[in-house]
Amino acid sequence: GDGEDGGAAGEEIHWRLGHSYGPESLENRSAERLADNLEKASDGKITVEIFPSSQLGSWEEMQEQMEVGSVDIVIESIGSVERYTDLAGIEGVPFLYEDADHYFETWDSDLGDEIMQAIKEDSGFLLTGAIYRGPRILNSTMPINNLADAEGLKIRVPNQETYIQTWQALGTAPTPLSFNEVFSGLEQGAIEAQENPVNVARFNSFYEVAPYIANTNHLYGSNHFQLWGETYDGWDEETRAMYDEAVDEVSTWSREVALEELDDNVAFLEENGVTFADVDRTEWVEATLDIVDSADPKVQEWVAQIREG
Amino acid sequence: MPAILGVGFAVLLLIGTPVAIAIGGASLLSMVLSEGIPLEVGAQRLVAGLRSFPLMAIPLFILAGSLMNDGGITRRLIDFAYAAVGSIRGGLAAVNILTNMIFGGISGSSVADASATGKILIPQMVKRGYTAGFAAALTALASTIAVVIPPSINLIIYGVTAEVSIGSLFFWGLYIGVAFGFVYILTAYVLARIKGYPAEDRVSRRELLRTSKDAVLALMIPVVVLGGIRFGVFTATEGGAVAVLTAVILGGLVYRELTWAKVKKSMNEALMLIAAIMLIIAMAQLYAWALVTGGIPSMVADFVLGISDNPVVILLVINVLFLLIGMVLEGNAAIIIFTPILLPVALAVGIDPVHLGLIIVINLAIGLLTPPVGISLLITTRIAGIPLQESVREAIPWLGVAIALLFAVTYIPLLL
Amino acid sequence: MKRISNLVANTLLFVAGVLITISTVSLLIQVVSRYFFNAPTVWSEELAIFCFVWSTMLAVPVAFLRREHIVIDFAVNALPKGLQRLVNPLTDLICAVTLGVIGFFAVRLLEAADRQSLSGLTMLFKSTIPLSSLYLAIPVGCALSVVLILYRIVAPIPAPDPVAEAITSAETEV
Ligand code: NA
Ligand code: NA
Repeated sequence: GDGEDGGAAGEEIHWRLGHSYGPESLENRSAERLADNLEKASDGKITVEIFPSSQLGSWEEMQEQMEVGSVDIVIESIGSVERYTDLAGIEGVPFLYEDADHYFETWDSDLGDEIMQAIKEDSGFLLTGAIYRGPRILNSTMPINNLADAEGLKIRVPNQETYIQTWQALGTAPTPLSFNEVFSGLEQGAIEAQENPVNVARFNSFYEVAPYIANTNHLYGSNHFQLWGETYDGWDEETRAMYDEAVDEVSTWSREVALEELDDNVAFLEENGVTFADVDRTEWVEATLDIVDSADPKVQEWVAQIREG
Repeated sequence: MPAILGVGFAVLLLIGTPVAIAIGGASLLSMVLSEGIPLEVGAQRLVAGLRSFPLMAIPLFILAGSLMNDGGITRRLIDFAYAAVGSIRGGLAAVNILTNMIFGGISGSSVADASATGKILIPQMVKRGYTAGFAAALTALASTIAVVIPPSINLIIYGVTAEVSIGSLFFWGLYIGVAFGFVYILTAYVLARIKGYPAEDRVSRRELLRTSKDAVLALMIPVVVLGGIRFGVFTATEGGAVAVLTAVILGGLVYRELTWAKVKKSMNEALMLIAAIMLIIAMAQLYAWALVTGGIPSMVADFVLGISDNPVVILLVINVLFLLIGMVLEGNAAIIIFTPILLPVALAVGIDPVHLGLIIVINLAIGLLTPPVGISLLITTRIAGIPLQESVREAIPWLGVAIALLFAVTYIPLLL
Repeated sequence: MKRISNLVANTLLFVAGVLITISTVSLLIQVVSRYFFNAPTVWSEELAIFCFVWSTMLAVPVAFLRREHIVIDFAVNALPKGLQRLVNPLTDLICAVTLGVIGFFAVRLLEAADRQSLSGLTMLFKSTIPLSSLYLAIPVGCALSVVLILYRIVAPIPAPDPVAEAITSAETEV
């Protein structure tokens, strides 16, 4: 951005923040809160301009723009840096957490910091704060109550190896498809299911054509305020402290909001005829235990630590 | 640096700089003049415009269209249309429109269609007493159906830019395109009655059967490609590859007209068109980025919404704007540049983005007829060998019909 | 000179043609393996894009050499003949500079691209294929374009009439 060196007292700093979520998303509201926090803390010295809805390019391209310095902050998940480092594969390990509490405990602990530090060293990207996305669920056109029901299910997945492996291991027929085509795909029967956090089913109207949700909770994840590590290290201490504090405040706030909205989304979907089913996770966990074997050794180590809880 | 994006772009365009470079050059200049924008981002936007999976449908459908011309598929479609609708009043006009409708189901661009069908049908129409201006205007108009009926390059680019389902755009494009075709045939019939244009001899049942049999496989191509996309067997991009495959099989193995030499010629011709169109699309990514970081879309959105928040008025503004844009700007670039500006406005007043896409694409289809830059009309006028004002004069009633249809597509959904 | 430029153009078009064919085949394999064998491929999409980007960036220079890029010429045509003759070299120069700048900064982008892997192709070839192998198409295509544009300024090739060309091409087709 304009103030890439950001620092010397009195100097105006202008940052560009980009993400691929909509203007109403929690990600965008968190970005706005971060901008407010920073502006207040710096007495108007730091301004953050927000570009939602992939206006600056896909998140891959925005990350690259961060590295060359035309974008300063990008909101995305850990998995988004997997093409830079295998360590980011930790996000895609299925059925890793018992529940939301287990997930929060893990990432609030020192292990969470350790993982982020390792990712920074290997990829160059520093992932700060967290905007909780909630667990990913299985949203289908037919009821799925157990693993047997899911056999041969045509489920849309992003075109990534771990996703495909996971859903193949579960006996389904994973179908890579671009996100834009999911609604019409479900409507016409080209696919029978999609997997995402529950808000996705609501706000993309998927529930209208796929009114069943199985609480598989196969993945938990958050989005993070990503920075180019060297840029962050180049800031003076005062700026860094100001930034860290602003991000911490947003993270605390957004976790609370995310949990509230999760309940709200479930209530909305139930009112609109969606049937939720709890599954017995044991068989799902067992079917996918081997997936982690092909991961980076360090990731396997972390997985073992997390599973021990 | 919005001034550079507007004025700089216009100047470059007017002195005859290739459209792609006028777009890219103006964007780079604006990035240089803005503070703190590393130019690497310019290079990156160019790659971004090329490495998009949905956009890859474009070169494939261009290639498929080129192979179909060289494989004798186009000619069979015309023979079939002749046997099917030639015997109604104004028969050759109807043949022209029907051929373009079928061809439009294979090809994604109007330019190829205007030249392929015009070369065969315009001389025939003139021989049968149609004025050359009428023949040129009609062929140009009929060729624009190809950008509404899927596969359509314009619809693909809109779908990618606006992040809406290309499948849905295609679905509605098919209905609207076919409806347009039938209204045009009806109009041709009425005009033929007024002007006394003839019907062609009714062909024998045997001839109809023969041409149908000959064309049935060619007619199956749009069915297979569009059906496959519609029912989720493959995406639009994969559908492009399927279209290329069917063109090669049909032209090479069944009709046996597609020789190696013809494949090479088709390929080279397609590559030139691909290079020209894809460079514009890729450079338009630089422009869009410069616009967004310059804050233009939100500025325009605030301005337009300040005038009115009534969707009827907003849609009118959008239509007038795109009719003007279509007079001077190449359609694909127009979509990439103006969609990010107008989509937020449309969404703010509750206009469906799929609906908006169809409206924009129909506007730009009309732009293929309007001077000074109406490439379809330029091509058919040249084929007819007449001055432009003659075909423009004959195009006016057709433009009236097209604009009436545009307004029907714009406002009927609001009433439903 | 003319023979060399033809040789270059034909070679580029041949390679571009082969690449776009690979692209097409790769997508067909993708459809068949997903739809008929229920075994989605992760490499096919990336391979198709890779070949397509290179194919386009090799065809773009030829299109500059042959003046096939789309131009809006009604304003230029309205100029007096003497002025018209000045405009061509000027626009050629603008093209060369624009592509030169983009090509130069594309080289500087390679470093960032080098650290990213193309995961699908990496899986296919069982060794890390960096994104820079795809990005390289931009500087190469830009450099070739600049050379061919400069060549064209020195050894003027008359601009083809796109309308006339479209018509001739249709003529040979039917
Ligand atoms: Na079409
Ligand atoms: Na026009």
